[in-house]
Amino acid sequence: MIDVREGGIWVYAERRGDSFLPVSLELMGKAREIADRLGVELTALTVGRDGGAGAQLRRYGPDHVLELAHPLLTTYDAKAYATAISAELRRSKPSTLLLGATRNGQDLAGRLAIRMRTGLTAHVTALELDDRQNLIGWVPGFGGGIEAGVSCPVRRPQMVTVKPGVFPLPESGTPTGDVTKVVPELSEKDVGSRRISFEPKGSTVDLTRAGVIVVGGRGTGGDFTRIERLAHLLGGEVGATRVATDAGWVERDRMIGQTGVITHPELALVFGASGAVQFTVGIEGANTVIAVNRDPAAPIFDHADLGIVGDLGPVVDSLLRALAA
Amino acid sequence: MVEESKSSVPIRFDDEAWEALAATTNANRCFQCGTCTAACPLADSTPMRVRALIRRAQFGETDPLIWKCMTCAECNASCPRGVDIVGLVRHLRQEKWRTREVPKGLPTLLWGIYSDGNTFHLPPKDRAAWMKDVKVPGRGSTLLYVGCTASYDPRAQRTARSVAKLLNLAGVEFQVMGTDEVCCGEAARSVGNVGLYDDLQQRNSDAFRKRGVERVITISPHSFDALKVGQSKYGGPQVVHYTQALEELVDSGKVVGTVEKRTVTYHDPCYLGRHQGVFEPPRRLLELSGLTLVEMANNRAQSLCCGGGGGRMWMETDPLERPGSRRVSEAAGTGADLLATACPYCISVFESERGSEVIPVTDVAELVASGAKG
Ligand SMILES: Cc1cc2nc3c(=O)[nH]c(=O)nc-3n(C[C@H](O)[C@H](O)[C@H](O)COP(=O)(O)OP(=O)(O)OC[C@H]3O[C@@H](n4cnc5c(N)ncnc54)[C@H](O)[C@@H]3O)c2cc1C
Ligand code: SF4
Ligand code: SF4
Repeated sequence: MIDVREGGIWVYAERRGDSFLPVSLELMGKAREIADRLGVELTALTVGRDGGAGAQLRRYGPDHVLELAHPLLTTYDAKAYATAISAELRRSKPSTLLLGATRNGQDLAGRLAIRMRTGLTAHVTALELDDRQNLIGWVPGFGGGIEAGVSCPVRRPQMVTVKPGVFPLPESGTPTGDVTKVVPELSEKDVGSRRISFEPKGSTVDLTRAGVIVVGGRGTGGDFTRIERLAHLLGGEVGATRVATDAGWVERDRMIGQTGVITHPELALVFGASGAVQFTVGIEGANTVIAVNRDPAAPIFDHADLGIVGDLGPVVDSLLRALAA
Repeated sequence: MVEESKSSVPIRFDDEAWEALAATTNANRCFQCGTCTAACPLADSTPMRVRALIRRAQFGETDPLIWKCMTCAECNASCPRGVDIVGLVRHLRQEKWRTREVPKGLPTLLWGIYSDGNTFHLPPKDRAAWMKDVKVPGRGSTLLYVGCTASYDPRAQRTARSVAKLLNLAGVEFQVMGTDEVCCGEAARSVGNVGLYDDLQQRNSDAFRKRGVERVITISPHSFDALKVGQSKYGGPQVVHYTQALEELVDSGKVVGTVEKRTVTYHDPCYLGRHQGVFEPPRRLLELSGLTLVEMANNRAQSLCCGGGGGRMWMETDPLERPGSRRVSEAAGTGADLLATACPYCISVFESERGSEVIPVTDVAELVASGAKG
């Protein structure tokens, strides 16, 4: 049996450009808690073309930040990243490595686990320590509606990928820890793919991240120009019900609901939508909902913090006037 | 995502997988006649070819088009060899959960059922919200099983209230499970998650036993089918659809009443009609209420699916491929004043296909309740 205290805890902090994915920061918060409980050190590991970005991670309580920097690591490549990281894991022998269960995180974790000949618990939704201080990762399985606790008592590092959003995002605090930059030994043969160009596909609306959403339904009668203007003035995005996207009034990736996007805005302004459950499940996570509908019995009012019964036209107009003033 | 695969992989028989499939679905009896392909309502609008799907399964390959299937059972009804094609689709989907090759949205559906006990991921504490002003005796061995859709969907809640109102008028003693009710598992079974379905059947069976339930009346035909099939394993209570229960009450004179004289056409929901053979009770209810029934050409066992079964309520369908809009046109073509049906999915689908603009869509229980007296 191996004691978890034999090495520190590492978190793989996944970069998106010069910042880090929220799940990586969530893991920093949880890992700090576990490290303190065990009395071991916490290292944030980041990989990229050059160092520098890693300094941001100091605000999330690490003892060390380790930056693996190399031109061949400019874009994510499973082979190159696994080669560089596994060399570091062999050198520093951490007891634990936590990664976000993102597309790349899952891809990388599998390869690393094979290279390190260790176990990997994937898609974990809760973490705890057993009485021997091995990590237990809880993994829900649908096969029988069960939840399995998985641990890896005989190999190190114990590896876990954690689903995004499971742990709270820690507050950023006073910087702690040191930053070390390491240039791994890599050559072209260690790289499996090369990025020639990067063009995001199609439209780039991401309603899941919008803070303000102005939604139009069938009641708009297809006039989305004022809805768009309102969204623009509020610094938000336009959303729509399925009736509005079916009619071609708005692109399909702006459809909110059961078969559309599930959103979590601070504010959703909903104009001329009846409030069918297939739509409202998509705004259930909104902080504040304001609905305008001329039918006082429309179910949308059951979901609204503020409801205005009336024709949406004059309401939109007066909002536009007030905001433009 | 889910596209037709033009596979160039060499053919490889997977005898074990095929035998497992054949054991429960009679797939080995298929002689590739193609009748199912012709019967499938998706054949006109999508590349779905049921016969080819079965052939591929024989080679151990799963056609990604399985996810488009609405489990409407048109194919089952027409197969001369008695192949359970719906069962085959569910089985193939089940395999896809193992490899996680499932359409977007379905994991969220299962999470909702698993963690909140409903298909919408909404709080279990809101499950009794459908009742509003309806009072329930809360006694007796009859249980009104409301189901997820009629519990949470404001449109379908109206149906549940109408059924409860009619039961009250007839003086039936019945209970509801309120916030203790959990999903019947039909959606999980449709998308291929048999484990979760079995779990829910077990939970429901325990709850029925604890409450001394001898008869279950369901709102949704999907719950009706799932509970009827699922509870038989536990020697559980008798399960009926509300149209059957109401027909008895109207027949025995416990509820009477007539509604404004109008013509109505009736859409047979797949799970009530083809799956469970209940064709006449809803029709009799409409006629006993004084409505004149006008049939669509595709009625009873030939009913055209609305497109909402088989988990399709949780997968987006290209507007050009939606069977629901075709059905709405067929209903409007009868010249009837109203389109009545008896399934909350059908109502959602028809209303979202602008059904209400061409022909008002309503539910059988709501029509009966609108004119009923005790
Ligand atoms: C399988 C399936 C999946 C679905 N998925 C989704 C989904 O993801 N998202 C989604 O949105 N829907 C979805 N739907 C459709 C959903 O069931 C509803 O049909 C749809 O949300 C209704 O859109 P709506 O509110 O714009 O239209 P309606 O229900 O027709 O409502 C229009 C509303 O506007 C009001 N109104 C009209 N004129 C005015 C005016 N001048 N001023 C103020 N108010 C006015 C009316 O009173 C009415 O309440 C799905 C349906 C199915 C069958
Ligand atoms: S169940 Fe219906 S949709 Fe599915 S294959 Fe059979 S006929 Fe086609
Ligand atoms: S109808 Fe029956 S026998 Fe004919 S191809 Fe389809 S499954 Fe096979």
